[in-house]
Amino acid sequence: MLNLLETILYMMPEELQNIISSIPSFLSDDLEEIRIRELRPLSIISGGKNYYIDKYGNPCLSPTHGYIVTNEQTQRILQLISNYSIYALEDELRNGYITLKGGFRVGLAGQTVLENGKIKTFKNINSFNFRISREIKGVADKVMPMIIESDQIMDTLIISPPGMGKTTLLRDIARQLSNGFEDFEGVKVSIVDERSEISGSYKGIPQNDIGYQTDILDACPKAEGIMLLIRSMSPDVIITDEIGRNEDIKSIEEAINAGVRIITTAHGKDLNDTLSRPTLKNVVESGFFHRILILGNSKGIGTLEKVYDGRNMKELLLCPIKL
Amino acid sequence: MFLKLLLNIVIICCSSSLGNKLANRYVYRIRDIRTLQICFAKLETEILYYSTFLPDALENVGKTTKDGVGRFLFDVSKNLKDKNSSSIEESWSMALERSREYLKLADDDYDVIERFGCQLGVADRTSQRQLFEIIQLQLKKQEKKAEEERARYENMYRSLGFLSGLTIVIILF
Repeated sequence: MLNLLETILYMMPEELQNIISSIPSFLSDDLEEIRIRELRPLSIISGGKNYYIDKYGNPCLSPTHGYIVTNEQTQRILQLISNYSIYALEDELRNGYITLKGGFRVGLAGQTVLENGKIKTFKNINSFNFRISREIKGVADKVMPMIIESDQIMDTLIISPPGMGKTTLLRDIARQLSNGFEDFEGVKVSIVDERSEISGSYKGIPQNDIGYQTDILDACPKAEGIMLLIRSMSPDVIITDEIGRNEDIKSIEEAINAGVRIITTAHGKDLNDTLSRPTLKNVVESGFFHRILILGNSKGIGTLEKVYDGRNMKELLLCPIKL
Repeated sequence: MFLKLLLNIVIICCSSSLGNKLANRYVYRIRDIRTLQICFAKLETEILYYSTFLPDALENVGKTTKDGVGRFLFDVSKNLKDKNSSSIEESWSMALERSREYLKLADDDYDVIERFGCQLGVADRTSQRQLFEIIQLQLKKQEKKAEEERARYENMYRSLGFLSGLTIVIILF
């Protein structure tokens, strides 16, 4: 945790470094986000709550006492996070975020430049969101028996609202499948990491522990990546997140038909919510997925609410469990 | 008599080497400008085709170039990689200022290079490509200018050195 914060500090101008490093530990221990907006007060999200930070690093109640970030500082941050190389990050910029060493991401906002109605690049970037991703090893311990049935990995769809630990769970599933655990020998895992969030890759090297037998296709579109991996890496399992588009579904069907297991996620509050999206409805109803896991927060962030057997829609979980 | 002869030779040698030194400035300037052109072409490849991060790109090019130009680029990359590093403009001009000790460029060459450095890495690929096109054109122009100056002054300084030595010898003895 401390190391991660240190990496973030390298990306800040000196004055902000001093302020952030003097944030009291009861806040910095649970730090989730650092938000920097030009000409507005510095704020952090810790334990799910927003705090404005004054020039001494202390939380303050009123935003008017917060430390105001200047234009030079935001420009400096941009130079530092891009490693003085905006040209190398064109694609990342287009998606609105940059992955940094250490596997955490910085979200960006500013003015967009359009070309043919699509975002070409950003200019006047003035808002930064340093997201501190958490690697929780063992978070999938209770899930593993549910997605493995007599040594066979089940095709699994994890449904969850944003911020409920979907990616954290997926990452640990990848690690455990790849390394193996009690009564389960590791298998070859491939990850298509379109948003560099599962592996947190920096220069193509995963910064998170995703297992010894895991290959990553970083920053690659899911549909193309899945097809490429089937051909090139002969994986036993392909892991990817946030499916939704038609071509994603098609390539997943292709993979399942090729005998490769798929573990993936989708946004949604519950099963009905997911079924209201036509593309997902088809794939769920056709019984492609053998397990459907629903995450929520009825017992805190990262609660496994429901588990369905995708083939007959039978519920397999008696009551929600906290992972 | 022998001593007198020796002294004469020493005086002529000194003044000729002074003249040569002044003349060589023009030769070395052209050499440095040409090396810069090659280095910036290499840098262009690193940036546009390999998307290498700027500090690494500068280091790679700096390492593979032996001359003072290589030292200068390596210096910039060191500035950028420094923990309490400064912005690209500062890193570039700091290294450029230091390079005056070992590069034989003229002031207007320095202006061109300084302006180029401020734009490096701050924009997308298309603008970077334009930037490299412009700097190559400008360096070509500087090279031509340097050539002209060399043609005009190189031999003049060399002969001036020798002849002034000769004059001193004649006046003294």
